[in-house]
Amino acid sequence: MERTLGHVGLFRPGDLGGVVYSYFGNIINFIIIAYALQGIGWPDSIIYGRVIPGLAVGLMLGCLAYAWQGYRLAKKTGRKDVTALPSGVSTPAMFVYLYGVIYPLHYSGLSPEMCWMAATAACFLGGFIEMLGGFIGPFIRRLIPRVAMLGTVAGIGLVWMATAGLFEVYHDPILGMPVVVIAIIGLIGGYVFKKRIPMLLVSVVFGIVWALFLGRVQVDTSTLGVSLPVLSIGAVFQGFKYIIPFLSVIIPIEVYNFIETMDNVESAIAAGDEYNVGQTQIIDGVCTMVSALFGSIVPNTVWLGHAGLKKSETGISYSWISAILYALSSVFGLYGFMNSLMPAVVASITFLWCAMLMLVQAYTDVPRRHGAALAIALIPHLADALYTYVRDALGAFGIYLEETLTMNSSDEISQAMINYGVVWKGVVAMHSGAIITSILWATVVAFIIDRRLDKASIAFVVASVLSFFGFIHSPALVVGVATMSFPYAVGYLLAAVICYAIHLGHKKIMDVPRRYDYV
Amino acid sequence: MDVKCVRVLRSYEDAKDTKKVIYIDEAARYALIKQWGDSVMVRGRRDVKNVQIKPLKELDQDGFIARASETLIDELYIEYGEEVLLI
Repeated sequence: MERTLGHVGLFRPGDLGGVVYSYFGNIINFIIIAYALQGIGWPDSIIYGRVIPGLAVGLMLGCLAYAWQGYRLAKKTGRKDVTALPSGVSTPAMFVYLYGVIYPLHYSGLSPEMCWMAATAACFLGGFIEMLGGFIGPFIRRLIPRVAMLGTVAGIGLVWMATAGLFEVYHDPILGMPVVVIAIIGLIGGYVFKKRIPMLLVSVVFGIVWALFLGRVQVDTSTLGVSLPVLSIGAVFQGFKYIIPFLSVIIPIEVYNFIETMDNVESAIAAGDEYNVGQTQIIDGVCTMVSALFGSIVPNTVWLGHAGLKKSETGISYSWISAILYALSSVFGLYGFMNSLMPAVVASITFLWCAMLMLVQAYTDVPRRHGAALAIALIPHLADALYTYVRDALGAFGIYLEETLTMNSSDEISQAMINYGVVWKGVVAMHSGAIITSILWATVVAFIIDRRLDKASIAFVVASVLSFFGFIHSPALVVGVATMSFPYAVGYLLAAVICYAIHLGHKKIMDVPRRYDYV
Repeated sequence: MDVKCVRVLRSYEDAKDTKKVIYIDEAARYALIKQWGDSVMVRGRRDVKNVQIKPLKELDQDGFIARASETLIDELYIEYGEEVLLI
């Protein structure tokens, strides 16, 4: 069943599982984007004629570029088991672009056509920032402890992918339980059929057949049609004039995005595939810019989950197969049809598996003494999830959190939450820039464990600067004393002073063992 | 999983290393040599550059361990039994 090109694996059975994870996972984002834009009255000619084909172009290019990286790595190392990086729409950035840029532009009175132009300009600029990140990414990677990067990946995996996966199973247990148990028996228990058919593939195929048998699949042909991507360079450049007020939203989310790429490449490196971080960030940036020129409004990124795909014997080919599927989806409007064929629970099994591997990897591929750093890295992501669930739940009742909460308890909802014992201010602060906060805290704790309080104090100073300018603990860039993030800048600075003071004086006033087992 | 995060034990009694050397299993050594040549940076509590990598003896292969001299362990500021990263 395995095909090779020279010594490089051309096709491995596990690639089908990879296609389910990558392609069908992204299709869900296509649908979310389409619904969100329909909600503010964008016409189908823009959504299905410009935005979706542009998205598909970006993802197609990303998949092809990652497949190329995979082949190069396989040739360089002589290995057949290289797994390509998964390409995808950056989900957190997608929500920020939708609700932080496009919706405000719509409510400011711009027509859908103007909004779309501005959104493509924002996307193009975002890609440019991400590309710039490619030049500093490798440098940052050498400074930050591995546990900080894998820890934040594990946090995202735990709160977004693993929970979504298992919640989906519990949403429809008769369909979901058999599928998930087959996957776990094979992928974690190591049971495998005689011909070494990957168990992720077995569980996916079984899930589709089982869903058909139970009548859970309704085929949707409403999106079918022919639509070619249109190069829209003029629209992008016309859109720039509308996005200047949104730079304070676009810049931090793109910094967040290139750090996410860096984390995910580190996870791939830890799993054994030594990809070049800077090159990958540049690929992400360029693909995002090209997709914007074809009408896309959200950036590309390296998706999470490489470690899980690698363990389930996924190779490189899933990446270019997904690229072909994106192209077909774009031209023939197949995304709705394909999405209707794949029950959500089956796609979610691949998410659950990849998330579990991300967590395990974060524990096993870092020194055990860094376990506390990993634990603290998970917490900001819990705040992020909590905030998002509350925001969406209130939004369903027409209460829009960003507009309602004042953060100083003077509004009804903030006061009600505080009265109920919810430490809401802390949740909101940690939610803003959760990835960066997660990395910073894990870095500090790892340095403290390694007796490097001087480096811990530098990390706190970085956190203080980022807070002062609103990269973290603020929904947008800000400067000044009367801002939401200023108290955090002060707090981090005080922490930096304490760390440095103890670093200078500990030899005289303290006993510090080389090894201290805190567990 | 990757074996570039390894637990370090004491070096071989008969080892006469004049340079900084870490002994790791053959598969990991092969992968590292392909990437960076025969010397790597080792990250313990401190970083030590230009550490030569040599293969573990047959008995220790696949044990997910590494062995290093006391001097290197001191430079890394770790104790025997703690993990290091090979970069």
